[in-house]
Order: sequence, then structure tokens, then C-alpha cells
Amino acid sequence: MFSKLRLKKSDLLLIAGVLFIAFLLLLPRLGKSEGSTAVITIDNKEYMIINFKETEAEYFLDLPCEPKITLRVTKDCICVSEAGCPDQICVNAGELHGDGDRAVCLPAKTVISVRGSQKNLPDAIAY
Amino acid sequence: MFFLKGRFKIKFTKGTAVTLLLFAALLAAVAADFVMTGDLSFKLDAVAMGSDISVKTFGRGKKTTAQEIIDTIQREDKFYWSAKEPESFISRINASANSLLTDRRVVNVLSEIIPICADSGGELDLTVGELTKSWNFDADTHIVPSDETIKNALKTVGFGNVAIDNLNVYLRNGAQLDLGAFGKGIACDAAKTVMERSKISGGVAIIGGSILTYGKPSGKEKWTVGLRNPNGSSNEYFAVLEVGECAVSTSGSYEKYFVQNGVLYNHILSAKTGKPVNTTIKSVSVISSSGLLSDALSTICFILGYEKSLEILEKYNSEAVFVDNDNFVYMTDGLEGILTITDGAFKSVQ
Repeated sequence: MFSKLRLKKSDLLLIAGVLFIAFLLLLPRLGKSEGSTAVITIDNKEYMIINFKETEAEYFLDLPCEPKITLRVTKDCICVSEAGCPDQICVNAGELHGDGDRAVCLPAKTVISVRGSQKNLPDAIAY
Repeated sequence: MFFLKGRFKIKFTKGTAVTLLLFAALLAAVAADFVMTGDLSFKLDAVAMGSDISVKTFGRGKKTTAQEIIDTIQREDKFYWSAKEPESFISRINASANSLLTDRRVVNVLSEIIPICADSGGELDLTVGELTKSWNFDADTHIVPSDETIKNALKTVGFGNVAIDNLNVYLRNGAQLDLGAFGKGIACDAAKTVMERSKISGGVAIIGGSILTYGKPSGKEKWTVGLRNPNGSSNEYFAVLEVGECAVSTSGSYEKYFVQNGVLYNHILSAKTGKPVNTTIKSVSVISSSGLLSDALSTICFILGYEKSLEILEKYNSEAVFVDNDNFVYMTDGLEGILTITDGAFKSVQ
């Protein structure tokens, strides 16, 4: 079809411009999949990002915080499997699946937060 | 051949026009998806003032604004509000035998809190420092204080013991300030001030479960705020509010408690009796114009229960949702059409 078209310089410029804008918009999205990423923050610093949807086999991960926290990572979720804190609130947060799910350990100053792009979830949960 | 008329005198072919239309459609789809899924937001998590904090911001300056919110909350906690930080104004007021020169921020906040305490009928008070020390809910092991200890602590409780003269603050009768019932709300308001000064189009700050919404979310007219399921984990909610700019705070018996000799002691103390509140209410969420108000009112409403809370809620132009032990949901009239119960285990009474 395009072989029959006679593109002028201005046409090419337009197409290039549109492509460039589309690329810029897509750039932050590349490499992301829905509800797949858990951001681990320790002592207010981003420690690591885990793309748990790409997990092939379940594994456990010790975090360098005090008290000690062990994460369980599977293809479907991430959760705190063990923690040395007295209240166990982070463990009781259970399995984290979707955007906005969080487990927080205040004694260890650690936050595990799932980020993704699921729709129809609240912007925030009051508790 | 097509011709764009007007200012643009660019010629392009039918095939190019089709291509351009396809790209335009792609752009629109990508943009709409970004907007609908909130991918335009910036999110930041932190732990500060003994609470977890999560900030989500949209628009210009979203990263710097989110970081500034966290920094401001940490700074204010350390130098203003924490009774555990020796340098804070609250600690220094508590330690001072004479009046202490503070600043406008301290005086404004205390002046806002005192009338709310007065309207609570003595149930909520900012001078419960001795009482909260006696109960020490933050300790690893818990001891129920004796009646004598509670009685002595109650002698020091009373908002009338706080004297404010210009920027000077003085405590009488051994009173000790403890802003624990207001702290998350104060931090929400600090977050709002940062957002108002910024160029962001919208943002939401979650501070220890208290929520402050500012501006508009990307692609929507209203913010959606889930209310935690008091029977579930911290990520489960039983209802969703659709709100504009506001503050939402929840008080619940599930949050902090201990059991001794078969008796459950929740962390919400009545400043009148000096003891944890004995109630059939499991959680209360309050929606107000400011964080300080929603935080304070949620505690008051938890103590007073639904019927007795209506007057103070009306006075402060606030709305509330109560959940009792049987999962019955009571809400104020202003929430009709705003609150949707999403979990079938909960039943609205109205």
C-alpha cells in the first residue's frame, strides 16, 4: 500500500513526530506488567524491586533489616513469611497480590508495597 | 490528496492520512490507559513518626513534592509533635517548669485541638501524657495499671491545664501533653500544605492509615478511599468512599490491643475514666475537611458511639461510618450516594 504512496518531506516529518511522541509515552511502560512489582523500602530508602510475576520457582529472601524479615516470593504473590518483630503486623498482612497491597514492619522500618496497574481499586485504604 | 486548511499548508496523501489516524488512535489509547490506570503517578513509601507513610502524587513536580512531604513529616515529628523526641516542642513544654516560647505553628495546632477536646465532653484530651505512660501500649509486655495509678494520672488530665499566652505555652497541675490522638491528622495537614505550595495536580497521603486527598486524581473526578475491613488484613476493605479533597481517619479496636486474664484492652483510652473504651463498635471512619479534625473525631466517635456522636459530627461538618461487632454499618446522612459497601458480610442499617 505504501509503495503506491508518494510521501513528501512534510509527511515524513509528521509521521516521525507522532512516532516520537508515542515512543515517549510508551517509555515508562516498557518492561512492566500488571500488578507485578513489589517495591521494598528499608529505612526510607528503596532497597530493591521484585518482579514477582516472573518468578519461576518459590523462593525466600532475607532482608537486611533489624529485626530480621524473611520474604516469600511466588509467581502469584509476595508476603512476609517470618519477622522478628513482636507485633507480627507485617506477617498478618498476608499475601500481597495487587496494586496498593502493603505489608509494613514499623520496628524494622520496612515497607513492602505492590505496584501495578489494576483498575477499579481504591486510591487509598483508610485503617 | 488531502490538504490541511488554515495556517498549515502541508500536503499529504490518503495513505499518510490513514497512517496518521492510526497513530493518533494509538496515542489516544495509550494516553487513556495511562490516565485510567494511574501510571502517571509517583509513589513513595516511608516509615516516620512511628507510622507507615505512603504518598502518591500526580503532575508537575510529583517526585520532589512526594519527597518533601516525607521530609516535612519527619522534621515536624522530631522538632514539634513527638513526646518521645527530646528536642520537640511538645517534649520541651512537658519538661519546662515555666512557660516555653514556641512558635505560631505550635500555638495554632494547640488552639485548634483545645475546643475539640472541650466538645468531646472530656472523653478526648491533649494532656493525657501521664495516663498513656501508665498504660504504655507501645511496650512489648503489658501491665494493667492499678486504679490508684489511673486515679493519680487523671488528676493531671484536663485541657484547662494548658495556658497559651501569645507564643508562650505553660502547663499547670502536672499536666503532660500527648498528641497521639491527633498526630496522624496533624501530619496529613502538613502534607496538604506541601501539596498546596507545589505544582502537582493531585495527590494522596496515607499516614498511619489516615488519608489526605488533594486536587484530583488522574483521569477521574473523585478519589476512591477504601475503608479497612475490621475483620480482615490491612489490605482488605469493606466499603469505598468517593470523595473530593478531604481527610479520612479510622479508629478501631483491632489496631493496638493486648489481652490479660481473658480481658481485651484496646489502645483507645477515655480521658474521663482513664481506661480503654468498652464498646460494641469495631471501627469508625470520619471524613472531615482537615486531618486534625478527622483524626480527633474518629477517636471521639469510637468512644461515644453512633447516637452520641451525631452532635459533634454536625458541629464540625463531618461525616462518619460506624461498624459494630455484628458487622452492621451505620453512617451519617451526608454519605448517602458517596459510600458503597463492597463486602457482602457487612450490612447497612439505614
